[in-house]
Amino acid sequence: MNDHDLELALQRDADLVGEPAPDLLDQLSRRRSDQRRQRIGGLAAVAAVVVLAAGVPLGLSAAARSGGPAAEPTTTVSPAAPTSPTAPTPVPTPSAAPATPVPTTASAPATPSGTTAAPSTIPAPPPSAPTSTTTKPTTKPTTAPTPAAPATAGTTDCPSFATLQAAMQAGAPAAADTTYAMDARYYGPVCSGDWAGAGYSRAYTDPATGEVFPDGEAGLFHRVGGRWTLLDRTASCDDPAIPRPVWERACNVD
Amino acid sequence: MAREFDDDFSEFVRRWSPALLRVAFLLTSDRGEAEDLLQTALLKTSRHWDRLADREAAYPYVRRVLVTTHTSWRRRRRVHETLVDQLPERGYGDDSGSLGAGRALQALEQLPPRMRAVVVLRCYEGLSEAETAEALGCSVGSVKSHSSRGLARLRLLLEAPTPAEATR
Repeated sequence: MNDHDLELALQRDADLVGEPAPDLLDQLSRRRSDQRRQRIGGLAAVAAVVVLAAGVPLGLSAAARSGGPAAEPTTTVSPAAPTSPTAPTPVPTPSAAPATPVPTTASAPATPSGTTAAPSTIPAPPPSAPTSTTTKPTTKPTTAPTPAAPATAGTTDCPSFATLQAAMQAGAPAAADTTYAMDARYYGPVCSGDWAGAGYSRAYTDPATGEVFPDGEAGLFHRVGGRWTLLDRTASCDDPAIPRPVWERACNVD
Repeated sequence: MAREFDDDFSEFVRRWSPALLRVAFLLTSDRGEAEDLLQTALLKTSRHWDRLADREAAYPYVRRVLVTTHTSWRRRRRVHETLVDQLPERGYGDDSGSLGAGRALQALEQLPPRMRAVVVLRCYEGLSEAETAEALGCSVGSVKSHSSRGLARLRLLLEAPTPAEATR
């Protein structure tokens, strides 16, 4: 089969798709409106987390300055039983940035290519163009890099980094060309009750070239019977039991 | 509702969406996913439309967004994919001959995502190696390698007898 036959076969098969929906522009408008609504909801959730994270240490430090919680009744210490003053409970320092990881994938060059001339001015790079972070490994990785666990979690009551890592590695599908690992760059856990959302890294190795494509992935975790498991987001993100902040972290991401 | 977009962008969508949908279909093999991919690429482009001064370059730009978005989706969805022994049946193949309708599409499905994108851009869109490399954000050497191996594999797959032929 020569190149011409191949081109003809591709052209014929491409035609099998038919024409775009006649109301394509209307569909685009609807999707754009939906995205705006989701973005506003996400910003509201982030703002709420920030307010909470900022409010807790302020309240605790105020309580510590006044010698204890305001509502705590003052007790009279009997001289017969002298005790040393109660040491103030150490106040945990919350992390400054709550829960929003910043993937470090660099954008691909924005210059469009094609049979026509390149544009005179180029818009910002396409939002999802993570291809330029490819690296050429000397050996095929067996495990993705696992940086040290962040000292603090994005919200309170989060399971430890190691716990989520164990859950993620047990739940992620085994594949020869893909490795998974918790990664501080994408971690940013958000937790509530028995639910947690956190990021981890996935490194895909192109079997043909050996190129490695690292990427950030959001994971949804659930604790059942005291054990944390990684859930399939496609099947589980519709569960209304997922707390909103966790849903925003694990499900409402691109 | 479509008035949300300016006339220029609307005109671009009307004129070029059929061609872009075909590229998306060759990348995905699925009409629904191709439409989803096309819409996502167009929405991403619409956010930067005002800054795209050269309207003639809009098609290559959207095509590039289309390809990079598809690559990103493929990587993301790998977590949820399950390997199977046999390919699921597709409605578009007729298995009636060595180049029956849908055969090229079925062969494309057997290629890794990036190799597939290279073959589509080179053979269907007619891009040069340099243009393909620019569209995919990779090196020309990588395009050459993918192109050479992809085309060889595609030929092999297309020249092999179909299951229907093999049982005759």
